[in-house]
Amino acid sequence: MENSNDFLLNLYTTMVLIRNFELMAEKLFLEGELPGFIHLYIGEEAIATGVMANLRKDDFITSTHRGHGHMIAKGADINRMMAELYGKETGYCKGKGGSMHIADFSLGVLGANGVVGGGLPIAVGAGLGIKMKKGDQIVVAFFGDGASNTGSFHESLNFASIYKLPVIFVLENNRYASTASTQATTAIENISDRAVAYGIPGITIDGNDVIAVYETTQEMVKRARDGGGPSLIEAKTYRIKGHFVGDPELYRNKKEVVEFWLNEPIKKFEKRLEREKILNSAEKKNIWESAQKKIKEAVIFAKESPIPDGNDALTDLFIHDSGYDY
Amino acid sequence: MREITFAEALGEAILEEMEKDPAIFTYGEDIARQGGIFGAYKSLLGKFPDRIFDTPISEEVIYGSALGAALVGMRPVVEFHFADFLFTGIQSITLQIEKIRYMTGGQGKLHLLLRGPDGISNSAAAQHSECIETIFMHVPGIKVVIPSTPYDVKGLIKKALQEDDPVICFEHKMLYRMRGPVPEEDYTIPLGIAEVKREGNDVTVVTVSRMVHESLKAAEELKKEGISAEIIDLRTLVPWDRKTVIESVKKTNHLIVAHETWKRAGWGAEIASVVQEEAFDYLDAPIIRVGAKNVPMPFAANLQDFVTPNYKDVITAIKQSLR
Amino acid sequence: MYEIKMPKFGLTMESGFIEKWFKKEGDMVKEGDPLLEVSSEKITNEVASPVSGILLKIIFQEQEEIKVGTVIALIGEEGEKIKEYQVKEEPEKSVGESEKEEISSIKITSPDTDRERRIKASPLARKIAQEKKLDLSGIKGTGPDGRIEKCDILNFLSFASKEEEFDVEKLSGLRRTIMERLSKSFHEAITLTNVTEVDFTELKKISKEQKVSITSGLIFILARVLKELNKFNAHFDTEKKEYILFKNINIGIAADTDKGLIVPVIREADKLKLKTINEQLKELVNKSRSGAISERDIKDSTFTITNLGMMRTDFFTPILNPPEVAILGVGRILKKPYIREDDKIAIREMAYLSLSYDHRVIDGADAARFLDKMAQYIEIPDLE
Repeated sequence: MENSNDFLLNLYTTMVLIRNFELMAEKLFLEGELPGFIHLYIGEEAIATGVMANLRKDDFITSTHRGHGHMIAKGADINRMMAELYGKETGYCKGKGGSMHIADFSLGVLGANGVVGGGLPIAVGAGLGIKMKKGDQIVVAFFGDGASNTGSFHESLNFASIYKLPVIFVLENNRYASTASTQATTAIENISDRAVAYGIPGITIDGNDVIAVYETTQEMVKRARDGGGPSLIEAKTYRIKGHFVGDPELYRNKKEVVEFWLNEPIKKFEKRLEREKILNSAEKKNIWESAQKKIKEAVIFAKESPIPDGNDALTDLFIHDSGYDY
Repeated sequence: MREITFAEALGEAILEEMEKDPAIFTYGEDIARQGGIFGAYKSLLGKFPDRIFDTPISEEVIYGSALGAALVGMRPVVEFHFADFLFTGIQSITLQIEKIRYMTGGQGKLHLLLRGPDGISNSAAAQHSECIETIFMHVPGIKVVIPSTPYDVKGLIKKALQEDDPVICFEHKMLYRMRGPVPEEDYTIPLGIAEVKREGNDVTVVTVSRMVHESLKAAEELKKEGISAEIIDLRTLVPWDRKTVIESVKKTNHLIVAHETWKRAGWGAEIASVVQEEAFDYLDAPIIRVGAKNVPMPFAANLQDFVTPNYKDVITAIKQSLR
Repeated sequence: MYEIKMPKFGLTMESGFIEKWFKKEGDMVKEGDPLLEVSSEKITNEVASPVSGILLKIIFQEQEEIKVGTVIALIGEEGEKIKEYQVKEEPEKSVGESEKEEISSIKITSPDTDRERRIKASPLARKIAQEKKLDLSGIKGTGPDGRIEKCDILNFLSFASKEEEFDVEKLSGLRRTIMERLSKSFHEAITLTNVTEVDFTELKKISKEQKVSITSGLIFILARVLKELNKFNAHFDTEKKEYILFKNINIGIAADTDKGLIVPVIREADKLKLKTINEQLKELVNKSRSGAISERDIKDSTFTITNLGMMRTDFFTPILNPPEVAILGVGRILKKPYIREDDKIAIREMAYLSLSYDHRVIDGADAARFLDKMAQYIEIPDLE
């Protein structure tokens, strides 16, 4: 069983790394260092961590606009991530994508996506490709409660189901789709109930319980690898921060946030690890400081990296490029 | 040389490439069992049964999945049922396919081909008759191919399937049954090279698809009046062959751009604009565009004829240009 | 705001000349006050103000020639904002038109630049024209809307470049001087010619008797007339606008030589006897023919006579010999039927005298008087 102490500490370390990256991103953005938009994953770390712990390096994921957590959990290079947020040449996307389009195809991260639900057809396509190749990789499509109401969701689940594609649809229900509360905009309480409509298994779990996420995903991954087809996991969590950094959050009251914060995933897991004597305060401090150090180095790397050359704006569109007019 | 139909040439191209490259597979609505609504896949029926299949009517995921499949190393050929329905899944093309490679700083290869029928036919009316290649010329990120003959479609499709960029190919419905010479030997046509389908000295006509044939008809008529028209089939819109067009305009000093899509803000305006920028001093008359009238396609046959350009409109434009 | 326009005195007046403004900008003007003085070619008039108010703006100043109907001043209330007037010379327009007129900053433009004609030509035609250094305004366009196209340029070129046979002859120094002087004179002076037919029978007879040439007789008579009508014995300096009346009467005789026209002079002709005139004339003619004419011989002419009678010219419009104010041309003497006082027909020897004169300083009446006198003295000659 992989629930060895090392494994559990790894889970914890990953969540801490994600948390610290996001906190730094928030800080930098509010200081005016970062252009564009940043969407923070704070409070949802358990989902990315728990899911990714089941994946091989050659498995694929598609991400959302809130994708830093997915990247980090899949093993991305923190330096290159930070450089991309800064829009530098050394970033993952050479400064052409930014936070919302960050990707590392070599790690199987088929991109964060600025269109709600945009990653779903891509994930389905990846699953289709794998099936055609007769490979045994799987694809995890991350998306939110907001995306579950798009046409894209419906088409993708149906399509994946009829061809029995190895795609696991992980719905991160953080109770808010931008400023709209999920409750007010979704016809049902447990979105995983929709799975029935596509003839695939669906389950709702506590997204803040990293072990629950890990174990549920493990089951679905095995199913998919064995050719059992797609499944839907609804991981319920809470979006602690606003939709984007700088969101005035006029649509909810602070009390609610404070309440949900009590259930946040890292603290939750910490309590369990400390109870089981797997984590002591020295180790905890070590893990946190080590994460912060990594992040700080990433910031220095990013700051010292050069901005992209203007002419680079005209590259990377086509592979066979005859210098067509730009 | 043997003569085969446009649809047959298209089918041959896909079949030959599928035989060479196991990564190619094809899907879309009504193709596997029927062989495509215009018979383009007839020759594939029964061959490669696991590499050709029908999909549900879910355009966003049909087009979007082509992207995902390409990213994991396959070469999908996706048929859109009618060009009009590219719009029902447009976000997958313009927001995803056209953007992913650029946004990720050049990661990934998007070797995928979207292809399907466009243009008028027998009173198919407004939602089944559109020519919308202008949109895909305008939004950067996909190559646009519009063949007009069996020879061209086979060569261009094969080339698209051998290169690694996303390509969208528009085949005019009324050309599928057209016969034309196609060699038995293997050949490809590079993207971005136009073909002078007919040489002339008095006026240049730049055109694609069905309008190539209308323009050739117009040129034949005008020959009787002593007017010699040069007909250039662009064959690709992205990238388009500026060099050939400008050389021709420098020779004839007159330019007509003819397309079936609507005249207003159609891609013809782009060609006209570039030519007047780059060959201004060679123009002896204003550039004239021929296109459909700016209304949706009506149903009644005579109304469809009224709205759609044909060889007579090309003749009128040429005469207007020459005096 | 009231627009003062250039008034029209009489049917044919097309433009008026502002002689003087009686008021200046900012002055209070009452209806009926004289505002400015305007002259036309026929008359000078005072223009009274049609309204009361402040003279807000004088658009055209004194000594300017303005087309009838053009707005030349504005009268209004103190502090009234002046619409910017596009000042251009235009004939009076209907009310609707002038309202639609473009408003631009006040500037005085000449008629041609305003009605600037946009030449329509295709880019290709323009390029070719530029290469061949052609002026497009001289080429007719046959394209739509009169557009000049390549074929029009090519037509023009083929037409213009017909292979003509020609020799190039450079003007001699003498010819050049003549050409320049005459050109200047032609452009500056207002040359008119009065003509009269004169009976030369008597003069011819007497000249023969006295063994002198008719021209000598003419010169003798001319000198006398010039003495009496002194204003013809003069020069006019165009630049200085000065009229120079000469005491000496030096008559130039226009002579045609193979080197061109020269005008040798008989000085103080009024003081010479007829025979002397004849001798001097003979000498000068010989000198001219042989090319022995000197500088001294041809300067200081105050009046010129030109005789084309030996060739078949009846009357003509001789050009002034600048800066002289008049020139007398003599035509050929022909036997003609002449109706006498008693209505009987006689055969007389007649010739035309053509007097060209500078109308800037000599009037038609003066010229008539001159010819009258000449005719008198020729028809009843007294050559002592």
